[in-house]
Amino acid sequence: MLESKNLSFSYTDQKVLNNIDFRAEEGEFISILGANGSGKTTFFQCMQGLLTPDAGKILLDGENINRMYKKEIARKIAIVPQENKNIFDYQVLDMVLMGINPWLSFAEQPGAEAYKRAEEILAELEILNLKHKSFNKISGGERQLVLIARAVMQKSSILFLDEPNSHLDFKNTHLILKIMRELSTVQKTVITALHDPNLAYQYSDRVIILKTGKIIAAGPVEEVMTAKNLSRAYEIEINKEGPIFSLTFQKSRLLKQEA
Amino acid sequence: MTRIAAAEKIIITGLLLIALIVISMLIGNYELNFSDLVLILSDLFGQGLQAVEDNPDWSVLYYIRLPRILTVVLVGSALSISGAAYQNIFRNPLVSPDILGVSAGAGLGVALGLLYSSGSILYVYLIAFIVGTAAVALTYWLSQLAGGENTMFMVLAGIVVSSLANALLSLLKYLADPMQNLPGIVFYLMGGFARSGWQEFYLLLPVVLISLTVILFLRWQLNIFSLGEKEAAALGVETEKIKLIVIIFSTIMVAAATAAAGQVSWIGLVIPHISRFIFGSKYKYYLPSSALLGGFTLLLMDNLARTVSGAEIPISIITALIGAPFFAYLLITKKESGWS
Repeated sequence: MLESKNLSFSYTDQKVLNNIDFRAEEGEFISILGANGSGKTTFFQCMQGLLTPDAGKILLDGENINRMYKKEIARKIAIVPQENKNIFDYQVLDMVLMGINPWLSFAEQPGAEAYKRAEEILAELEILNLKHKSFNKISGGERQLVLIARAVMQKSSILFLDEPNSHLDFKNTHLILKIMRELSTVQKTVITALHDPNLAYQYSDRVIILKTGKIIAAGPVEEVMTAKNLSRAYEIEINKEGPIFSLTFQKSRLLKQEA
Repeated sequence: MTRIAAAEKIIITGLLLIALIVISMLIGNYELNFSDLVLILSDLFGQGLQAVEDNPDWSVLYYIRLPRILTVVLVGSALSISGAAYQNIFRNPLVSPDILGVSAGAGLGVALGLLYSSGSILYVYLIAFIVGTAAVALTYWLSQLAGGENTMFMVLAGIVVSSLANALLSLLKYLADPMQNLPGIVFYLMGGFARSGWQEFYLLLPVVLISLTVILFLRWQLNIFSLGEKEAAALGVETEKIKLIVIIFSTIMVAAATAAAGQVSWIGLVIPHISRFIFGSKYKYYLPSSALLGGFTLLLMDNLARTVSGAEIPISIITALIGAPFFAYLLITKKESGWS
């Protein structure tokens, strides 16, 4: 279980997170929504123990995360980053194997068992055919699946995804979220930042809306994801028709001038 | 590339290195051919040391060529390993021992040692190591002050520290007695193995072996390190600790290599590239192959240095003349290999 109490964080003179209370229970799928610059990424990095808050505490299974070794944290929290090419290229299988690292001792190398497990996970995600391919040369959607495989390899109970669909097409976006949804039903907690409220609405159990470093709404999807709350978060009028959120922009000034 | 293929390539490189070592023993002003070598070895193993002691062939081989060849191989390996390690730690394929100011710092240390230590080789090593380490520490400290974790600041800080060390070195040269000391410093730093004997070899050997072992032990974590510090930390790598250990041992190697052979440029940058291209990024293969390939290449260049003209050419001139155009070629043709 992961929770924050009165979490605040600032970069030199700018307060990015203000008094955030957050709690994630086992098996939940939680989406974090908010406009660009609302503090989602900073919030994530604090909750992952990568940044130390100015005030407040982050507790991972009751222990202060900033006092834990990276290895201990990594056994409980896995992060699926946005897919990107590596500076130095590795095989897909090696990328997945890296997930076993928190369970190895200081100078230990992954053994035969780890190799076997990595292949099993790749098979479950239906990408075993990629195992000897170069990570940099497969498609973006495939890379994202490999990173999920690596997170599964980590055997942690909490999974973080920061805008997992940012480089993905329509099909891959839904494929990734479907897999995460399935993972959340096997006692894993999934916490993801999303840009698209419609995706959050479709896949989450619970939604948290951030605005300028504060939580403006939090709770079950149906309660929190109202047109009113979203309009406030993105500072534009948002309408809800059935299960779809939409918005209308005014004609831009450029066009008005042309006319 | 499959696992077996990479391992096989490493064995082939090792065999090539051994072959080159044998060939190098036969190169030089004193004429020796392969049958002389076989004869000497059969005498040595058949009848013991007394049988060959007075043979001039043996003196040339054992006291002049062999220590030089082995020292060259060690220096080449040391520079390549440290280059390979720096590149992963700083996630930058353009980083080399020169970038962090290590080479310049160690060079300054060598000059200080030559001027103020009454010529004892051990002191030269020691001062080179101390000043080289101080240079890295200064680079690290400056980059922390300027930008924290950002790798780019480390590279920029390295340029600052290199300039500073080079300026101090110029000052030392300017103040040095132009008859007595200046030529010594200049020739020493231009690099060369003409003075390499068993002493140099035995000073280098433990440094390279220990550093290589430490870095090899951390190979798995270094793989992960190249994904970036944040991602590595999220995978449970104690990034600060690993960074510190690897920088220290790489620096020790560069300082020792500089003390033994002067400033040998380009090897630490070019060899890790070639070896990544041939053997892949995985450290298990990448590190040993860098060591072998570094030794091989520098030995090839040293053979050129001592045979191209009557007088020996400083090694850094050869490495730069070959290394720089070759690197330009890599830059133009190999954009795909992850360094754009």
